[in-house]
Amino acid sequence: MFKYEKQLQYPINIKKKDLRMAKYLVTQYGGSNGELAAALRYLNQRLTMPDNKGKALLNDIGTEELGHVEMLETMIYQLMKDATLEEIKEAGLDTHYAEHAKSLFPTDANGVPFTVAYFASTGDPLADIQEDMAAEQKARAVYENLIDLTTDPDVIEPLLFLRQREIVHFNRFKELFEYYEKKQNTKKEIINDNDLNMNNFYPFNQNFNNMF
Amino acid sequence: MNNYQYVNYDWYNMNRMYQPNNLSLYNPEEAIIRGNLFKDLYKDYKDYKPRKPQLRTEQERKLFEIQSLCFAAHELNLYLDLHPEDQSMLRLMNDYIIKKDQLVKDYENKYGPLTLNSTGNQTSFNWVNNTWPWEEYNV
Repeated sequence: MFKYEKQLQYPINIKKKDLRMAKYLVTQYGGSNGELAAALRYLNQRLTMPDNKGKALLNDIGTEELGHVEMLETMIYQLMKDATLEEIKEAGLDTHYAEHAKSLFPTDANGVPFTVAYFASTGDPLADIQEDMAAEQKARAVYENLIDLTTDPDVIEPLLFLRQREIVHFNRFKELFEYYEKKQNTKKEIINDNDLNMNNFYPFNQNFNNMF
Repeated sequence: MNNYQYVNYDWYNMNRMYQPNNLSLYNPEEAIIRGNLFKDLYKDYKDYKPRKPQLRTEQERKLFEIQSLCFAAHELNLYLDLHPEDQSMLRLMNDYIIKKDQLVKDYENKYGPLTLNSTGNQTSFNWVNNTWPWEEYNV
């Protein structure tokens, strides 16, 4: 189960409202490379990881990503909370206001709503972990785009923190990927006495669990 | 002008980074400011430098100490998921957690509970009264 801690992973105090930035930041909340997609993807994939290392890593990174969802929510909320209706119209958030007023709603920066299609699970551990590595790289790139779009140090600071987390997670996933790949190669050697083309062969899926 | 003109990290190196046997770590405060406990994994973006958050109140400063220790322990947690046999890292994680628990106790006595687990000695239900993380801590 999950329990709540009444603290952010990293402190956020944004003093200046900035509706345009709120409009961009929402993509890391509800976009395809966003934190909500990452959290739910990892917490979903963890069940079919082939060993305890994989289950633990996906569980613990997925849980951290939920904390990042909260950070994004906090940033968007603080950037928007003092805005007047006039400012909301000016920033092009009038369409958001029509449906949600000042409440948060997970979409990407173009207003496309969050969808479970972002989960991208195949059940093949190597494919899933490479999906996760790519997700971390894409999120890092988006954070860099977002940093480029602002000059407010109160916003840049947590964005740099979140960007760096993508780099750490990428490296952890990569380590896990290489560890599984090595296991796969060991398995190849064991069954290498038939005529299969070993360079084009994945001895995986249902049998993968038996390797551990 | 496109962003690539400023990209100063080395893609190849970034993708080849392995965790060395001999690890060098930042201390918890340096780590949370950078978002990274592991010196070898740290990568800057352009010429942005990590900055310590501006903490305006005693409460925010106390909470930041807790956040720093939580962060360092969490980083070790992710590392230990893949290297559960590493005793020295396990000891370090335990140290950070013990220190954090002491700070949490002090903090909660003064400012109210951080979790519902820790409300055992409350005389009033402060969970509904103290500040939520997305709000401003009273100056």
